[in-house]
Amino acid sequence: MRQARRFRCRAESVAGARHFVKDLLSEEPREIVEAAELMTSELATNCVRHAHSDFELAIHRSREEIRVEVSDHGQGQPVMRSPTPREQSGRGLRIVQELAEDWGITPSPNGKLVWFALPARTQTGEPLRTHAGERKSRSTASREQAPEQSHQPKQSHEADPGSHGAASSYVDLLEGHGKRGPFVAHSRIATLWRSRWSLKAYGTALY
Amino acid sequence: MQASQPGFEVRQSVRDGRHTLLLSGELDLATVAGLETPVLDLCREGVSTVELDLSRLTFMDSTGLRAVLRAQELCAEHGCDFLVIPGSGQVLRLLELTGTIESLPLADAHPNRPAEVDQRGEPPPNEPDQP
Repeated sequence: MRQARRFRCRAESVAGARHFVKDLLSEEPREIVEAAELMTSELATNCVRHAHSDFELAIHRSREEIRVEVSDHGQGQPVMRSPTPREQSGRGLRIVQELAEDWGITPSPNGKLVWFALPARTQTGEPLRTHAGERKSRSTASREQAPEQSHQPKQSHEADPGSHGAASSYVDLLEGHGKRGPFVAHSRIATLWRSRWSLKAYGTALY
Repeated sequence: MQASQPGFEVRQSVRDGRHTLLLSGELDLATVAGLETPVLDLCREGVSTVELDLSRLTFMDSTGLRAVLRAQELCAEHGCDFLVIPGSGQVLRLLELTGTIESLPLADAHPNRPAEVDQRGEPPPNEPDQP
């Protein structure tokens, strides 16, 4: 199922795009909606602020996956940076990298399309945490189906030692923060968070 | 003082020399301009402490975060202390995700929220302390 809407190149369109996504995903778990809203806001902001372009937002939903695509007519390519905690800018695509199950950039004759994917809640009401083990295989499948797309692999996910571990894992992540840089460490913490949210959401909280 | 844009509002309060800007709504590309002006006004007044209360924001993205870091920079330039109340929702998770929470001076929320300054500039009568 695909639903799409066009937005004008103006600052208010960022909230419009975000609310469009939120409304369409109203039946998904809270952490998925929140992640989709934030990533949509980042990509829409890039269209308005950097590409100076109208943009189209399209949402594809299947049983397993939510895929959000933002296409614009800007000629530049977005660049992912690694800002320090004190730097004021450069975090938009990094946030997408951290939160999306998969994402990519596809150049087009008139501009580009930036997309991200998140796991969908299954029809059976299966808890979201069961998706974690499927994450790698689905990401791989996604890449195989779209080999033409410029893609930056999510190494942090593939190195994820299992996101539902004991509290010691969380401490390890925090202690490793300084060595790996904030975004690498926080990517894994974010994965832990997603697990915690989904467990809470389904009434089996470990915390 | 009160600044208002669609989906975003800033209310100012003061207690014991600490000037708090209570932000509500959504802080993004369309609304960030509404934050810098009141912060800059306070800095120019020479207040000792500017506190950003983000606990009532319903959404903030990296553009909003940039405005918060810009506010921190403005306060440093003017010699004002700067504090942030991150709340417990999406804003806190954004600060954690980006690692910026480590560079922001966090304030505990007041046990009793500071009295708001009404449009005449006068604080309302003090309410009795809660147990």
